Amino acid sequence: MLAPDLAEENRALKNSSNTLAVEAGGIDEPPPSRLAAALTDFIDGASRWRIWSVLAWFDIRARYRRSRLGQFWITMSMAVTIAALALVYSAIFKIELAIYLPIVAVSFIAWGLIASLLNEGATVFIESEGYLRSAPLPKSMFIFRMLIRNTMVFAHNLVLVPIVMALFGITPTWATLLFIPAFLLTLANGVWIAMILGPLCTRFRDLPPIVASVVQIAFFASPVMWFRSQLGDHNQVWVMWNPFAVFLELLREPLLGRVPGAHWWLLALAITAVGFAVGIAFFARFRARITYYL
Amino acid sequence: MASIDVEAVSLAYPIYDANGRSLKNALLRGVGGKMTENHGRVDVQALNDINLRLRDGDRLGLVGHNGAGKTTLLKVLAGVYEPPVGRVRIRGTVSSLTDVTMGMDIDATGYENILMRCVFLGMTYDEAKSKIPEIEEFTELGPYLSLPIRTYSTGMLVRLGFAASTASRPQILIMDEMIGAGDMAFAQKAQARIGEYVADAHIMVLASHNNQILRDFCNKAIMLDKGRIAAMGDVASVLEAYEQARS
Repeated sequence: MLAPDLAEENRALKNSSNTLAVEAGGIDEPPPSRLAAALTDFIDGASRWRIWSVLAWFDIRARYRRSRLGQFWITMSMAVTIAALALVYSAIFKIELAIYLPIVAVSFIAWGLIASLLNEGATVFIESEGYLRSAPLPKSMFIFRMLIRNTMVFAHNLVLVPIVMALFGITPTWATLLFIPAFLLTLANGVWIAMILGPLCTRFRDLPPIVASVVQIAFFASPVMWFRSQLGDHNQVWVMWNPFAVFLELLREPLLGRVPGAHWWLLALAITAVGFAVGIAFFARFRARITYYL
Repeated sequence: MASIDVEAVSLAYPIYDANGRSLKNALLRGVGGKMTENHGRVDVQALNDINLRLRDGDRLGLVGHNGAGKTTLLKVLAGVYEPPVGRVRIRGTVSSLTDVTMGMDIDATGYENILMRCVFLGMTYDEAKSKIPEIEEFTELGPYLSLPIRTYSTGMLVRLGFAASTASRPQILIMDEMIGAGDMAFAQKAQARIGEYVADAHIMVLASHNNQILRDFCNKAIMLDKGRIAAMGDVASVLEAYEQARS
């Protein structure tokens, strides 16, 4: 009934010598280890960059679709937030606006990246349920999608930095270039965070809101709107060993034309190394289970 | 050369209810003894000791009652599910046409969705663009392709999804029921396209409740019963056994 001539052709392909039945032990090569499978997942995922970059771009566009400003709403809302916060808090802290605003602008933009890497790392597989359940795609693809999407959002916010700098007469220095390694290091940490939080939050659906609360608390506990110096000498320890503050410092200082101290770099590298060690082991263990958790 | 090897595969779905998804309960489980009888988790045995070998030229039909494990087996063969017990080795490019409108962005135009789908199928942007004239011609959607697909009727949406999903030629084709596409006038055109599409695949696996379609398209078949292979062999004898078992 369905295109009989083609069905005939299909039948002609029949190879009667083949048999479906297979003895146990038919696969001759040894099974790949979980670690190797996770590595293959990442290599496959990276090689499909066309897919995740298109997905990330569609994500951004979907959020601001049918609005005249489109994705520049990201930039606009950040600008308004910074202006409002700077006006109020410079008055509360009795700091000159010209000093306070550039710092809070850069801090807030950097914080936006750190916070969304955590929050979206948590929901990275939940949001991709439709794809994961119906197509054989590497899981890492969706981590890359999330990272690229946040890079795009961050880039839209970053536009504000030169504007603020120009308004307040801050000139870039050679130290500004350190922003590039600082940014790449932060983004790399987004990978292991998603490797751990992604499977965990897919399994336990209570977790994403918990992650969001922790990030919210970390916002107030980290020097985003206040300065480290305001904390006094005795309490510096709260900032020096706060992982949020570490990446905040690394991203912020170069944009303000300063060199982040060795303490911050070393701590960031240590966090990255430990994070990846745990992240890779965790992802290798639970990667194949993600589809079942959905 | 495409091939699929399945060896001693068993698969149980963990079904989590709200209790099983709760972190608190998972933590308390270790501390306070048994909180709930099953910890909010029920395992459903979907596949049981499946052994299977598919080579070029195989067109495998899957039959079985609802819940016999057909869809699960399809997902294992496509590589969507990695079974915890047993091994699966898939060689070749796989396309599973379970949902032709998967991942479509309703606010993007028809053209954008075609490109998106083609990129998903593994094409480069240039290759995707080169498919557009052919899809334009096939779907007959004309100026609608420049509009967001939000404005499409269901039939138009299926046409677009169908045409875009069949734009590439996978080596392994996995289908849950034969894909059909919309209205009568379009059906004949769609059939010709499906025929070509299926003929180009090295391996095809099709689960269907329509035995005539299975006879037309398949040369081999498996009957599943409660997750086990109850019968396997050429399509005629397996279907006969299946029809007898049903009556």
